[in-house]
Order: sequence, then C-alpha cells, then structure tokens
Amino acid sequence: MSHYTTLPTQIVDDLGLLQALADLGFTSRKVETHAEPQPLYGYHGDERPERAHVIIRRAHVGPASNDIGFVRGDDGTFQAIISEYDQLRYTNDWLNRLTQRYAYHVTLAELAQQGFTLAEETDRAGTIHLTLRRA
Amino acid sequence: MEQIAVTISKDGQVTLHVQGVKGMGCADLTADLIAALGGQITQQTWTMEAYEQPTEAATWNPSRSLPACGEGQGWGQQKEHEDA
Repeated sequence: MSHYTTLPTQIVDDLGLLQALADLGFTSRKVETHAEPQPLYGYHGDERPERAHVIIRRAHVGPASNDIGFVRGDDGTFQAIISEYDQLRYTNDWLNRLTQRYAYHVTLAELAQQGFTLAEETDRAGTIHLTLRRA
Repeated sequence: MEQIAVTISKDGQVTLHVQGVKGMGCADLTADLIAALGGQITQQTWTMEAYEQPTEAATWNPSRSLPACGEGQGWGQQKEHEDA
C-alpha cells in the first residue's frame, strides 16, 4: 500500500525559516531571532507599531527600506511583515520561494530523523523533486 | 525498500508519496513532517499497489481519523475493493 498526502506549506519552525532565509541571501548574521516579539523600525529609524520574532533589519534589506519581520501567530505559524515599499522587491514570488526553501529544509530534516537519506534531487521548471529511501 | 517521493511546487505546496512501508508505521512516519509543514492537509489518497491503477485510489477525508497503513487494516477503501 502507498499513500499520497498533499498540503500547502505554512512556516512553523524557526530553524527551517532561518535556513530558508539563508538560501535567499539572509545568512544568520543578518537575521535576529527573539523569544518575545520586538519592534520593527522604518527607514527613518522610526519605531513602527509592528513587532516580530524574526527580524531582518533595514540595513540588510535595501536602501530606503524598512525592517522585514516574521511574527509567530497564536496558531503557531509565522506571518511575514513587509512594508508596501519593500513589497516591490520582496514580492509574493519571493515569499513563495522562501516557503519552498523552508519546505525543502524541514522535509530533509524530519525524514532524516526517521532514518531516510536523500537518494535523488531534481529541479524541473522550479518544482523540486526529492526521493528519499530507507533500507 | 521504503521510499518517500516529495514534490515541492513553486508556491510551497508539498506532495508526499510514501511507498513500501509496512505495518502501522506509514502515518507515523510523516506525522512530524506534516506538523512542520503546518499540518493543513488538503488531500490524502491511498492506493493498493497490487492493482497499480490510479483509478483504484480513493480520497480520504482528513476530518476522519488516520487509517493504519498495514495491509488489510481497517479503512473504507478496502471495503470498496471487496465490493467490486
């Protein structure tokens, strides 16, 4: 018997989020993580009302940018906080890529815990295909 | 050989295809991964490999409890085969 399971990815694991951000150029030294949400700052250095657990400070985001944050909601999922200005560069496509990289990392990590190793990895037209096996 | 094929689309939709896992293990096997992906299963399909026909598949309602994976262990699809 075999089975298929399909689900959309929601980001719930902070380590996986950090790995995905690193894949998109925001290595760990550019990203802050906080147990309690901290304020985000605007491009003038002004404190904004939004707070986040995972923060990329504006100096790393781009010229005239605001901080980018990821806040963990009551349901455990992270939601991105990206200013309207920065959404010109950090678009839905960027968020989709981040989500895909997150899924990639948590898949390998969780299945490694179950004793599976990666046998094959391909990228066809932007879709990642992984084959993992356990003897 | 136990195998899991994973497809991750551009927008992060994940499809897991678990093959060759006997006994009670196959739902447990992916439980932690599914939780790490947010746990919002939209579709789950079980196939009888002996028939190797996609049309034998039936869609599982996620609101029901997880079936066991072992051969012949209780779930409605087994019954459908017996009826056929």
